[in-house]
Amino acid sequence: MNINKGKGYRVFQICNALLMAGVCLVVLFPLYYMFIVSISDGAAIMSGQVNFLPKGFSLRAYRAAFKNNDFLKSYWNTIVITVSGTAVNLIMTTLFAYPLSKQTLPGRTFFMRMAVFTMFFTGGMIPSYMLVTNLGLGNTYWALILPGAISVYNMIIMRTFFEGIPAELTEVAYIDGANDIQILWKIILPLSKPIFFTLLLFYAVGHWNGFFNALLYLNDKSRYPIQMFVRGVVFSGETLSMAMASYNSSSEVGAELLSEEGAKYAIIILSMIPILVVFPIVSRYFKSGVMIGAVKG
Amino acid sequence: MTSCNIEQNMKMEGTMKRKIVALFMTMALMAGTMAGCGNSDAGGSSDASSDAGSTAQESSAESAEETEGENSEESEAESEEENQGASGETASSLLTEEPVTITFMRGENSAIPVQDNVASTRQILERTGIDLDITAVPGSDYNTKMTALYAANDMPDIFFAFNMTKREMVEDGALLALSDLIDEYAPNIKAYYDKNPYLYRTMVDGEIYSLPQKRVDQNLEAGCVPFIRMDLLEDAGLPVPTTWKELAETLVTLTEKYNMEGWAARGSGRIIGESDYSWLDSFGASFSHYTDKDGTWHLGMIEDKYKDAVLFLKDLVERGALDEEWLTTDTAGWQEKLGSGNYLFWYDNPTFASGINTALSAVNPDARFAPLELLEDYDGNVFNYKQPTHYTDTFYISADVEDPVLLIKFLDWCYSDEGAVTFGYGREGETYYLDDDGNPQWLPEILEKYANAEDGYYQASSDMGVNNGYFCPAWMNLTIEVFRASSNNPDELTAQYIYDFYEEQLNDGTIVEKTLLPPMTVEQDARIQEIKQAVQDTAITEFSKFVMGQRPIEEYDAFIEELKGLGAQEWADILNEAETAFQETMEGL
Amino acid sequence: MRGMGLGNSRRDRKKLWNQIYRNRWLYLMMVLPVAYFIIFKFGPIYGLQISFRDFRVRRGIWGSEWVGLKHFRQYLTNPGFWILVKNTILLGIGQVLFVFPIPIIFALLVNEVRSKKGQRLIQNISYLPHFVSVVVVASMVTTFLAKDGIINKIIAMLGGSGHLFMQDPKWFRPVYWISNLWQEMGWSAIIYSAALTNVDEQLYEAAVIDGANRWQQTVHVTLPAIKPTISIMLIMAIGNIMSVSFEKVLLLQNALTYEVSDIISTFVYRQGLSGGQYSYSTAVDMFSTVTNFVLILVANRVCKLLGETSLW
Repeated sequence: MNINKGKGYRVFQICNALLMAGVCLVVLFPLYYMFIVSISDGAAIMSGQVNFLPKGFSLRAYRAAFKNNDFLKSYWNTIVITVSGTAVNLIMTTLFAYPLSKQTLPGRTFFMRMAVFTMFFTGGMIPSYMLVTNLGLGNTYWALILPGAISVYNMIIMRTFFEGIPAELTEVAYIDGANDIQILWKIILPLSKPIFFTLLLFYAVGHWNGFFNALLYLNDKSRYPIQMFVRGVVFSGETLSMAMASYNSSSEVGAELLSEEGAKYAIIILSMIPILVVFPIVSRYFKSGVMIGAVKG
Repeated sequence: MTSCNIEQNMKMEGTMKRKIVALFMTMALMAGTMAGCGNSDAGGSSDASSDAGSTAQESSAESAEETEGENSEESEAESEEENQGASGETASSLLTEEPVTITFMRGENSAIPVQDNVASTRQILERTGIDLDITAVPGSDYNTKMTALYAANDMPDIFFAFNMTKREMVEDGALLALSDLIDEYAPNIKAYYDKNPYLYRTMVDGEIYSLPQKRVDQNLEAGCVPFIRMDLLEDAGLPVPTTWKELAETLVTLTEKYNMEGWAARGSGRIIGESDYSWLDSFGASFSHYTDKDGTWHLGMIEDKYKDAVLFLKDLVERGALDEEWLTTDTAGWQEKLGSGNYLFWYDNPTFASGINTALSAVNPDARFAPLELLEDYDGNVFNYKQPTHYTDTFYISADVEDPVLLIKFLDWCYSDEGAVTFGYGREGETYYLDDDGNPQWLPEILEKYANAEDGYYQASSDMGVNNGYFCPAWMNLTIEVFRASSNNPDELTAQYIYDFYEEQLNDGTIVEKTLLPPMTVEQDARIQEIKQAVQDTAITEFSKFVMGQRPIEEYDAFIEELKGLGAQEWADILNEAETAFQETMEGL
Repeated sequence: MRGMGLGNSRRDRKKLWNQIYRNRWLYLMMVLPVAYFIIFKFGPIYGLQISFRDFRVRRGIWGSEWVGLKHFRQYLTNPGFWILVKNTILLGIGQVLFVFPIPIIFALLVNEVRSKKGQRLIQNISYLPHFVSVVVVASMVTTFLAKDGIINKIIAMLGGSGHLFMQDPKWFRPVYWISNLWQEMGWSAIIYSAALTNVDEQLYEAAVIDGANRWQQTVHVTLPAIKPTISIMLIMAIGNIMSVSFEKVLLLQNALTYEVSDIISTFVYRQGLSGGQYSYSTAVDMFSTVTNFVLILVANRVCKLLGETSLW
């Protein structure tokens, strides 16, 4: 493919490599910066000495985070929400995408149009809220899971993937008398790993990072997900009680000082870890997954 | 440092502002206001704590409360049967045979996480049979949460005020009308209303729809006050500023001399002044409505005094003596700024002082903020507002409660001496005992546990469900003061210290409570809301720009005309109209 | 995508029923998803009628008085509303103009990197920010851009003077776009990268034989090959002009930037869920939904007319 190798092209290659390195740096720097602040010594952070390298070393921020019950609780809640929510998402999306992938299904266009319509025309915040609470889902995790059970965009990706599976593979099974549910389960799904993992990632990230529905629907603080906790710490000026405790102890000689900023970043980093861990595992699947769905629209 | 959260919370709670007083007192005082709230006839209940209230009376004899106790004898007389603190022996006071759940929702102060099943709720259950189910959402989300629940018509039984006005809720039929119920079943509350006629201002069409938080012991709060880096002031050999003009010069001199930042503030509320308390009070200006000495209502933002204030701030910004980030700084960031040793001045709630100084001393042992005497405004006047003794319009009751009679009986118990002791001390035998005089005292193990804890004051409040961070209709605001780590240090900027510092002015009428708004008609209320909506956000934005020099000051007068066009003048007119009508009805009574 | 003659011919009716019967398992599968759409997607659309009523909570939707277009009239005649519309559209259009094309360029550039391993590494790094939540991104933005934040420190090191970015209305939109770009560039590029790997090698070979250099190959082979993907993504982006990430705006705005940062959805949130004006704010909300819907229909139409791939 790279047959043309003029001099200009080589210069371009070098510039491009530099540019890409620059992009990576810009992308990573904020994450890196939060990390070094979170492990730096509190006093150094407060006096503004932490810029590009960590200064001192303290895990006080992390220790404090793990001592904070609300934080641990919200972490656990998010795991519960993400796991159950993603399961519901995948089941519902598959149940809809598979029938729609059948060219011969009467009414296919109608159902498709209906789904796409809801993608662009929504009832809006307040009617949705009223509906969900009137269904008695207020203050339950169902309120975070059910209203977004199917993302039409993801459903289309999955449908397109299914459409790409050669019909011959299933024909034999039909002849053997298998019904569609058996075929989906035994033949289609094992072939659909890439799309499955792709959507798993999409949905799981959505659940992991979501806060707005929790803000709307959950009353009980003990049910809050991690992003609500992060939001409280970062935006509502709710000081971490752990950070405050540190002020009292800071007068003791040799006590490590915990800066508000360091504590914030420690929380943020902890909140991102699962996604950063899952991501490389799933990532090898998803390029093929996204591609198949999206190119064909 | 923790008190910031209370502040945060307060901001959300709109009309009723509540503050925990940072002060040192060895004994909680049950002040005179308790009187008349004895349990003498509250549904036949007689109990340990009514005793406590009345005896404590003696120690609070000197407390400057407007009402002196009359009923103390009665309640004293009948607390005999109560003795060993343990629970369960007070079956006679149960309001219901089977436990009944009552739900309560509030915004939470993140320093005082609300827990389930704590000492106070256990005592409530034992003494009344009411299972108080408390739901707390972060203070900053409380408004959103409640507005949403309101839309779904899914309100808790008891809740704090939120954005929806009382009038609107009454029009919707969402609030329980309390007057008749109180007359019939709630002698404590009734007596309390009779004692404090200004509570009539909180009625809607002569009907009670909201209940106040009653402060049972002494109010040591002195409003928001100025603090300066006294060590640097002394180091520079400058005189202590006594007027706002002098303060400006002092700040400019010090910022230049020490290459520091000047005044640090948190959010527009404290500078532009939409918060209930700000430096403007002492500067003789006001952002929102206020009453002058004759009781006439004004809207501060359209008056000349406010322009003076804007010019004053603008001047500080230009000369580098006001932190340019005042608008976007939140409470936590503000505290960190002040604790970093880079700022010279702040004007805010004194509860922050001791935490800030502690943080500061870690950076520089000599550094300290100290309060200033109230500064004179341009006309040579000295003035300030302080927090009210009783926070009105605090508790609202949903019209959908299953058993209004039971609920009102329960609330009446809450306003009783026994209720107050429960909200102040938790559960008898578990967290407190009654001494020989019948006064509640912390159990030794509780004292030991929290007095030495890192953050004992807040922990104690959270663990036991006592004080203002929980459900607290009758508020003994001094009971947990003993758990403040620093409460034994005489130089500490405790509430008592601040109170002593401003005592003269607190007593001579220089520092006063704000006048409550008069009751309004549906139309008046709606119109005020409408004007407020049109005016408030615009005003905050534009005044901020004038201060920051983003909008030329020449346009100031035109902007004021614009505000008037949006109804700013009408705002004050409506209030005066309502005030006159209210005065007339009061005379009629 | 055409349905198989749902009742379009009477003769075929029997055949149709046969077909439906044959597909009964598929329909069974669809029961739950269809119920989901009806309840959770069309339910709220049904609830939109409160924008034509004076919704009083305790009277319910049906008990609330029908006021027709009162709320619509109220905001359409309010000059403040058109500022919201303007802000929303400008923010959205900027998103399309700046944030949309850059991932395409990025994908092309990544594609030019010689080593496959290098490509993979760059891609994997560039996706990362996508997984960072809005809350975290917004908090990073505000702390980095604070007076003593890292950006101002870098500026100071380079000899510049500090700037209060978050308080400067001029900076609000750029900050919003740049942070979006940071977060979504790599992620949005995936789709183009995927499309690029699908381009037929033979086309390049043919181009080389014709003497095309690298640039010409890009213009004449690569771009046309990924054009369908681009047009689909563009239609979607246009359809989202009115629905800019309201959570982020809410977290980034402050009183000094309201004049540019206040958009329809933040207004709806403030009035509706903080201010309790349910009907009014729903009516305002409906404005942006309908506008969005019209925009996407138009964009799709235009693409069709231009002979490009369209959504349907």
